Formats: sequence, structure tokens, C-alpha cells
Amino acid sequence: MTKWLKRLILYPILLFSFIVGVFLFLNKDLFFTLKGYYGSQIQWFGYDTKGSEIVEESLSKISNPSAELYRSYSVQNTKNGNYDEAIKYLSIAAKKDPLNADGYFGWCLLYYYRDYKKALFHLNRLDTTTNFVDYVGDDNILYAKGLCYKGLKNYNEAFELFKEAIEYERREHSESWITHQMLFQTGRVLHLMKRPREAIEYYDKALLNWDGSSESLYYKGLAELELGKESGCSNLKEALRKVKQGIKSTDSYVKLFDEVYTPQIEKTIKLKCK
Amino acid sequence: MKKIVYILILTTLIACNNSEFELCGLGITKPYYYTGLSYKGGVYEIETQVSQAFEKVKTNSTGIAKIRFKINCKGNIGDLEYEEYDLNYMKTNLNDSIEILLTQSITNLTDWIPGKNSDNQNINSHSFLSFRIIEGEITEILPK
Repeated sequence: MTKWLKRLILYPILLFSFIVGVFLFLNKDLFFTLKGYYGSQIQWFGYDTKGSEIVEESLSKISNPSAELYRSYSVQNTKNGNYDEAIKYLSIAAKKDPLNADGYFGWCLLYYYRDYKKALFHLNRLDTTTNFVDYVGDDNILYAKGLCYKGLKNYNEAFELFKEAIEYERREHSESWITHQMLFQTGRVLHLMKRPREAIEYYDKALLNWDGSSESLYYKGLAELELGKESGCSNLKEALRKVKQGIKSTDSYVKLFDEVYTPQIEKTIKLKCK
Repeated sequence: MKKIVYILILTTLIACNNSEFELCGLGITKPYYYTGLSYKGGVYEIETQVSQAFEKVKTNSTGIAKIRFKINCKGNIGDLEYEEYDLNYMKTNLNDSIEILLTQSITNLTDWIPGKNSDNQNINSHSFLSFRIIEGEITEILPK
């Protein structure tokens, strides 16, 4: 029995391991690429220093690492907040292959670093290089650029870009490509431009797109209160009820723009409603 | 002399923090976005608590301060590691009082909701908070 077990299972595994070993010994680049991924995996478990050392060492041993490899090693560093390592790798990737790296770099700088100026640089460079509308992360690039301008408090430019992004999706795809976040953020910039009536129109559109957009309900309530409408408080209370149930826009990795939280709504209600 | 006092305060803080902290099980930690680790009231509550404390810091420093930490299955915080970057993401040293105050503020956060595994059991997590500071004011707290 043991003899057959060896013949059928153990020997094939040994042979396979030997072939893989020889292959990796002959192909050093592949070996160090895999070792680099192992380093990234260690970082995932929180061993940042050791993981970084392995990644760094692996990169130094690979002959001419690709832009994509630098980009992929940056990912775990961004997620762990190792900003120096992440930005170093992304900068090299963007230098080697700007066309393929700029979208991710710009999107990352926007969402994970809130570094609007630098994000805009990469998104603009990509947008002017291609003759079509790109998508970065899951975002239409015009919308992503709009978010950068909003972060830089240039609300007019942000509004124009959001409108352009929405119009593009409607024209080139369909209404279903327009996300509730695009509508909500358009409402936010109008609100910040002190145009609450128009802001409410967009908050309503966002809610029509997804009734779980409690952030739209919250800011709609605030806009209504600014206009002296009593319905503002009931919308704030409804937003609170929903957020307490976990119904709102959120992300596992990073807080969203204008994300709303229970104590925030409670504080507003206490301050503005009887 | 100032440096010695600073090192003493920091050592005391870390020592106090570590004395009670123990990871559950084998001590394995997983990232916050995998376990679903959260803080009661979200980053809004963290912002409120840290910003209030940060007002006491008299500095006009600009840069990013980051604290990495672990939260065990009981929701206790420990193993804090502190780093500072300039706005070009190079490691740097900001004002010493920023480190003391932020480390203290994060240690004082007590309402962590531990992460869970697929069997809905509480497990250890690791996470970080970064503070973008412009001319002595916190302008952004990330990631969530």
C-alpha cells in the first residue's frame, strides 16, 4: 500500500518540485519576482519591515523590472500606509510607462493620499495622452479629475467636469453608467457653491439612482434647512435611521468623499432640529 | 535635556501601552480591510477626539504623521509604531510634540470594534492612521 502511495503521489510531487526548482534556478527573474510577491504577502500580515526588505532585495536582483511589477509591489505598501515605499515604486512605474501607470497613480493619490495636486498631474497627463475617455479605478477620468478640483476648492471646474462626465456616460453608454456617487458629488459642489436648490435636484437624482445613498439624504436635509424648509429635519432623521442600519456609501479600504457617520448626523440634528 | 525628557515621556507611553496589551490566539494579525475592524462612530469620531487634543500642539509643521497599531480580539490597542513623512512622502522628523500627542490620542481611543473571521469570531487586526498636517493643522485623517 505504502509503495503504491509513494509511486502515485509522493514521486510525482517530488518530480514536479524538482522541475519547478530547476526552472526557478535557471530563471532568476521569475524566482525573484515570486520572492517579491512573497514579501508583499508578508506585509499583508503586518510584517512591514521584513516584507519591504524582501521586496526591495527582489527588485534589486531582477534585471530591468517592468513598470507593472513596480506598480504591483506598491499596492500593499499603500494599503499598509508605507507611503515612502509606495510612492517610490509608483514614481518609477510612471517614469517607465506613464501611459499605463498614470491612471492608477492618479486614482491612488486621489483616494488613498488625498493629494489632489499630484493626482491631477497624473490624471491630466493620461487624459491628454489618449484620445478617449479613460477609466481610473472604477471612475470615469473626468469625474476623478472633478474630485481633485473639488479637493482643491475649485468648485466651478469640478462642476463642469462632473457635468461632462455625466453627459459622456449618457451619450456613449446609458443612464445606468451614471453612478449615484457622480450625482451626489455634483450636488455637493453645487451646495459648496451656495446653490442649495440645484444641489437638492442632484441629491434627489442620486437617491433615485440608489435609495441607500444616505449621504444624499443627509446633505439634502441640510440644504433644505438652509432654504428654511421644515422637511430638512425629517430628512436628517431618516438619514440617521438608515446610517444606523449601515445603509450608506462606504468602502472597506478608505473613507469616501463626504461619507457620513452616525455621531455626525446626531450632532447636526441636535444643533439644527427641535 | 529637551530630547531626554521627550524620550522619557515616549518610553513611558509605549511601556504603559504595551504592559496590558496581548494579542489573542497565536498572535497572527490581519489587515483592517479584511477583518472589518472599525471604530464606534467611524473616522468622524476619531477626527473629533484627535483634533480636540491636537489643538494643544503649538506648531506650524507640515507633513504626514502615521501611526501603525494592532487591535486584539478584545478591542484593545497596542504595538504602536510611529513614522513621519514630508509632503513628497520622504521620511522626515516633524515637531516632537506631534508624536507625543498623536501617540497619546491614539492610545486613548477605546471604542474599537474588533475585526471578525468568517465564523464571526473576534480576531486580531492591524491598521494605521495617517494625519496630513498643514502648518500645524490636521487637514485629513486616513484611511478610515
